[in-house]
Amino acid sequence: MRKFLSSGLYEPPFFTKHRIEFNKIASNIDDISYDFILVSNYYQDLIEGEQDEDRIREIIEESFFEALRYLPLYFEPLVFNEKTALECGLIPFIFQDIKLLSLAGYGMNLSPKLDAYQVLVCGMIDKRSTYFHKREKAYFEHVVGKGVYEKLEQILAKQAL
Amino acid sequence: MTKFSNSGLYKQPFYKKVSDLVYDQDFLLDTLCDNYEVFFKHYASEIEELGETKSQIINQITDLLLLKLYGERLYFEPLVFNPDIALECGLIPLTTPNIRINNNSLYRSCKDFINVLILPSGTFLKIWTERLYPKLDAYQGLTDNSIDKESYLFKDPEHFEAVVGKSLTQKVVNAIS
Repeated sequence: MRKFLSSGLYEPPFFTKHRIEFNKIASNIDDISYDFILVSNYYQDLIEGEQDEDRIREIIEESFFEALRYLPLYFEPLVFNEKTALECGLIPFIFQDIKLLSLAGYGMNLSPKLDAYQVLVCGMIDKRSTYFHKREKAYFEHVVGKGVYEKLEQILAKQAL
Repeated sequence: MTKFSNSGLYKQPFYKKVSDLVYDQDFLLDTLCDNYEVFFKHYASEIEELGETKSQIINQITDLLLLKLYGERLYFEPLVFNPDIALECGLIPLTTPNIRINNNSLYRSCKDFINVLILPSGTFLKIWTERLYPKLDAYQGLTDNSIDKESYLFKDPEHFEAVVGKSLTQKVVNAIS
């Protein structure tokens, strides 16, 4: 039987993986940027009641870099949407002009976050996604959260009509 | 109907396009020296070897490579790197430092060196370069025994054969069957 494997030439994959050691990020801090206001909103719970602006910045930066430190594997999407990324629990940032998403976690399968991002941004999903594994549906919902899961279901259901 | 698209998370594509690589001719020469026998095998018919020293032969092959490299150069990082098969498919293998350029800033990657294949186009028109993808399909077929469903081999077999030649096409068909 013929073995088919996407070459990446005719249809580029939605995500390109980048393995970047955190040390490299830390030692090239000037090459990193992110939308501070959006990320602050994402970490709203952590800064609630805090008045000191310097302290707020410190908390946000600490949380941001902690999220990047978990796993030295980042994903470059074909379409970069920071708001949607944060909605899916991904941390968006730009490093050396490459637009990347961090999983902001480790030790468990976090691919549902990326699958959800792909659906929310371009309405498409990978056939091999955990979303299609009957036993994993609850897990998928647990990872992305109820709100995002419902949104994703709506998008996919519309296409099924 | 649900729209499916490869995310690249569950199955890695065979090639990663490296669009912002900084090309340095010195490393082409290094790749040539490190794989001298392989390059010599492929270019023997095009060079004059009588009475020539190894370094003179290397110079001749370098000149031929530079001629081939005229036009837009596209770089592809394959899952499997085989300089011999690359040359057979009309691609130029290159081991080079992973230095990228973005917005006029140079960035060196954490992985020091990468193995890439150069697709020489002889033109600066992207549309023509893409018509040369059968060379990359052939390389994938011969090194991994796999092929993309969208390959020209299925969509336009005549074009595939025109680009890589009849015998190589047959070899690819055998490799993936």
